[in-house]
Amino acid sequence: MNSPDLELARRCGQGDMAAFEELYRAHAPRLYTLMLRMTGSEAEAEDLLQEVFLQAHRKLGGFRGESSLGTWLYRLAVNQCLDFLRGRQARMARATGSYDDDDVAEPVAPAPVIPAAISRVDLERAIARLPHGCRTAFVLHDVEGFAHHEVAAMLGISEGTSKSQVHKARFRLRSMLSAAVR
Amino acid sequence: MTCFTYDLEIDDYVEGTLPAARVAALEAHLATCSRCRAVATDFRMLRSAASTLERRTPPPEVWRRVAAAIHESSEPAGWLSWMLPGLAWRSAVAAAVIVTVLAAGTWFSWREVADTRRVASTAGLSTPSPESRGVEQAMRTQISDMEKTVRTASAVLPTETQAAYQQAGAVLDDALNRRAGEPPSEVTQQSLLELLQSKLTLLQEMIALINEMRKGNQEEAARIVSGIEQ
Repeated sequence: MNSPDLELARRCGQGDMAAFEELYRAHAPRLYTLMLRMTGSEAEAEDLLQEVFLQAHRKLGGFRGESSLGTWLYRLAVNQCLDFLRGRQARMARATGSYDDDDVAEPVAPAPVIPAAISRVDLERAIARLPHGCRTAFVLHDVEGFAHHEVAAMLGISEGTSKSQVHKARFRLRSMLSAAVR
Repeated sequence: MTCFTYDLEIDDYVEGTLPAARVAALEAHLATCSRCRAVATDFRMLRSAASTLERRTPPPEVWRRVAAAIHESSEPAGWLSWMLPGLAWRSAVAAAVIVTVLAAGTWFSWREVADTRRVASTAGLSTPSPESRGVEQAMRTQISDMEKTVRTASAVLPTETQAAYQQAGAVLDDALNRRAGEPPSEVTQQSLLELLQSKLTLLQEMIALINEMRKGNQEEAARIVSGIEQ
């Protein structure tokens, strides 16, 4: 149990806006970046971030310190993001009649195709273009550093599915990045 | 084994989680297959680059929107108008308090008649016990403190509710004064304590309502109002 976290949560719960702003400044960049990568859209990430902090403001009174405030907020953010993505996926499925297309154009390359000094901008762009299922698993695993069993628990999927989604994402990224450098 | 089979192991290999028993076989394959070797190198490169991507700072307007939304939700006028538009809410609270007071007033009148008869028929009953006097004193102190609290904070209440509360308090005070003027006995003392308890309950309800209005907690405020109405 982290007592500075509990103290900050207590102050926030009592309506102390300076304390809530402190909480926001400390955690918003990490959550925003996660949301940006998971949604691939700045506008959607901003809306989701706002919603997560409003939700946190409502729920902070119930924070008991079983985990750190950062972890607690992170869970709120991941759940909020996943709810949003499920809704968007359903809307897209209704519009297009399908989810992700499964065709991965694998570069037939006898040598590595990703440059040693890979551009972060290119990588961010490529991640944003991934289908949402494999993008979420890739972001949580390769970017955020969660183990497959943790990703599986967060997404409500099996560990094997998490591995295959990350595998799919890596192949797609490899394909996109090889096209980007050609 | 085909390259496709090895593909699935390359992920574990670059993550360092491939079982030791499989590492030698995969490395033997990588030594002879340029395609799989390229995949492994690229996956390792991707993983390394992904883990060093930088954090982004949200635009300042996101915090402004969050702060504005919280401020708006804590404005009493905001949730009052959401809950019951216009004067409907104020009237509902005022009416609920008045109903309580009128019901209490009727009950006190009835109790006064009944108690007078009982006092008359039990003349010579013992005077109030010191314990009973002590309870009365404690209740009066508590009431005095709570009245101060309500006086200080009642500005958040609609004018009609404040007026209804004043009216309720006046009815109860009048009944209490009449009780205090009667010859002391254990019976009148019990009646006095019941009146004090009614006043405490009224004050508790008002303080709870003030608190919920300050917090903008619509659900709880509605529950208190419905409790007053019952």
